[in-house]
Amino acid sequence: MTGFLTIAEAASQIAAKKLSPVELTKTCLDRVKTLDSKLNSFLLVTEERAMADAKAAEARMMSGSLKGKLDGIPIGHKDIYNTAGIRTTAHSKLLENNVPTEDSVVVQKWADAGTVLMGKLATHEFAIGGPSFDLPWPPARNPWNPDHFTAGSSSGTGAAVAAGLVLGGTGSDTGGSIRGPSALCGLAGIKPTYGLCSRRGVLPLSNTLDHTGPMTWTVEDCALMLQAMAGHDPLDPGSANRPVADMTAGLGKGVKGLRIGVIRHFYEEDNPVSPATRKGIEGAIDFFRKSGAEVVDVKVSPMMDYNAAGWVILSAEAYTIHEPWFKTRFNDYGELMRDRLALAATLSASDYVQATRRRRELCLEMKAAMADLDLIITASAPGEAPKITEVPKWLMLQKPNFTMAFNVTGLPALSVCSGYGEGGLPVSLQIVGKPFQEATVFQAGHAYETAHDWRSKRPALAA
Amino acid sequence: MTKEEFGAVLDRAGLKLSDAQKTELFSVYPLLQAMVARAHPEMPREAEMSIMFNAEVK
Repeated sequence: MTGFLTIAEAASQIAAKKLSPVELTKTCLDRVKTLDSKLNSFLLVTEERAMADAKAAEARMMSGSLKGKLDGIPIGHKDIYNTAGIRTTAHSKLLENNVPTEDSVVVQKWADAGTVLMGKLATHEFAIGGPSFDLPWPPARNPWNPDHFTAGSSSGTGAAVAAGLVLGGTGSDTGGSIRGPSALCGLAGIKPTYGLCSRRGVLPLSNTLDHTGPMTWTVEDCALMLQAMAGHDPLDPGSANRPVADMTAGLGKGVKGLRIGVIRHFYEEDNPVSPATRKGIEGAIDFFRKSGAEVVDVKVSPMMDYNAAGWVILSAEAYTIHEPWFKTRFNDYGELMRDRLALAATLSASDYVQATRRRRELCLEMKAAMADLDLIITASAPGEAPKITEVPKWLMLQKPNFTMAFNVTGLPALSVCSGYGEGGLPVSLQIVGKPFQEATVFQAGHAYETAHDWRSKRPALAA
Repeated sequence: MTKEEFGAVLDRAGLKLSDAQKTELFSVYPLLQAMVARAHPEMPREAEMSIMFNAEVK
């Protein structure tokens, strides 16, 4: 097998018995062996497990008993997802030898769907401390240019999917950790509605902001992967007890008749983006208008208001989770994780409660802004990936990011590649939906993506 | 908050930070405080809070 396949393409070929899951898995393993010394996207390659999974999928293919479109698809899990019998470290010295006894719910769901587990993928330490050079493993690097940052915290998934080492993988998103790496690595990545996917068995960062979700090369693949991970989990207190929609229902339907709002002030005033990012967003707006959508401008509170409420809540909740280790093993954390969260020791109970009240105001504001809309468009990152050595330690306090607003409000938000910048690295935009309307988000994202040529180009290092 | 008061808060939290670590954290503390101020809504005292307790445990 040569070239790169999307999940949808591979699934179609496997269903037609034209592609062997074993050969597909061997191709991915070969890519890992060839490329990952430059990318550091894997913390652990589970080659034996991958081959066993692939052989089982191949047997189902031959007997006509495939489980569905994910059967035989090589994937990886961010290393905060518990995997039974397989080391799960959170990229931290504190869990260097941690071997869970149970799979997280999402890991189990993807395994039940027949996926091939290739291994565990790099993350920022406990999904917040990175890019760090003082941990037991190095940080993942961007396949579009390994001197550059992947963004985080789902850094390994971003690098591995972009380079074709896996066809899809899990991320988690507390303030943008799926959409940030998806943006900088040129992927499709969705943070679903809060409560759509279980977080049970995933090492937490901030319980009221944490989301699990997929990262893939295309929007269609993202819909397929989300379908297999969504659903009510009575043992996750944040889980929504409601039926799961057909995530692919809108694919191919275009955007005619959809009403789309644009939050321009986020990317023009609150945190001005690069010319290439702006060009990509304006191009998308033009595309949606010409395709029959109604596009209007929307104004909400400054992006920093959303970031402020989000960061205070995130810091307080994360500090609570890590407090026992902070008191006993403070210097076993990497510098970035340790210092970023230590500041939270200065927060008061009132600071936290007031931030949750402000969050409610912001949720109501966004709900009102979307009342007559189907979708919102804005940026998902300021521009191309910076050099990995030039990422400011305190960036989250200095400039608002484009993603936190939708963790605070819990709305589904998809990052989609919208072209390439002057440095040849991807730029992106963000498509946001109403609660549990992921199918509409995918509908618009797929219409945009398939009308543009961005998916035909892979990182030169991988090609 | 003075630097000494800031250090005392961290000490009281049980964190064992060096003076250099405290100095760095104190330098960015105003940025966190600016966020805290932004995240403080102008709501009346009696406004319904966002942290709800439901006696019917799910």
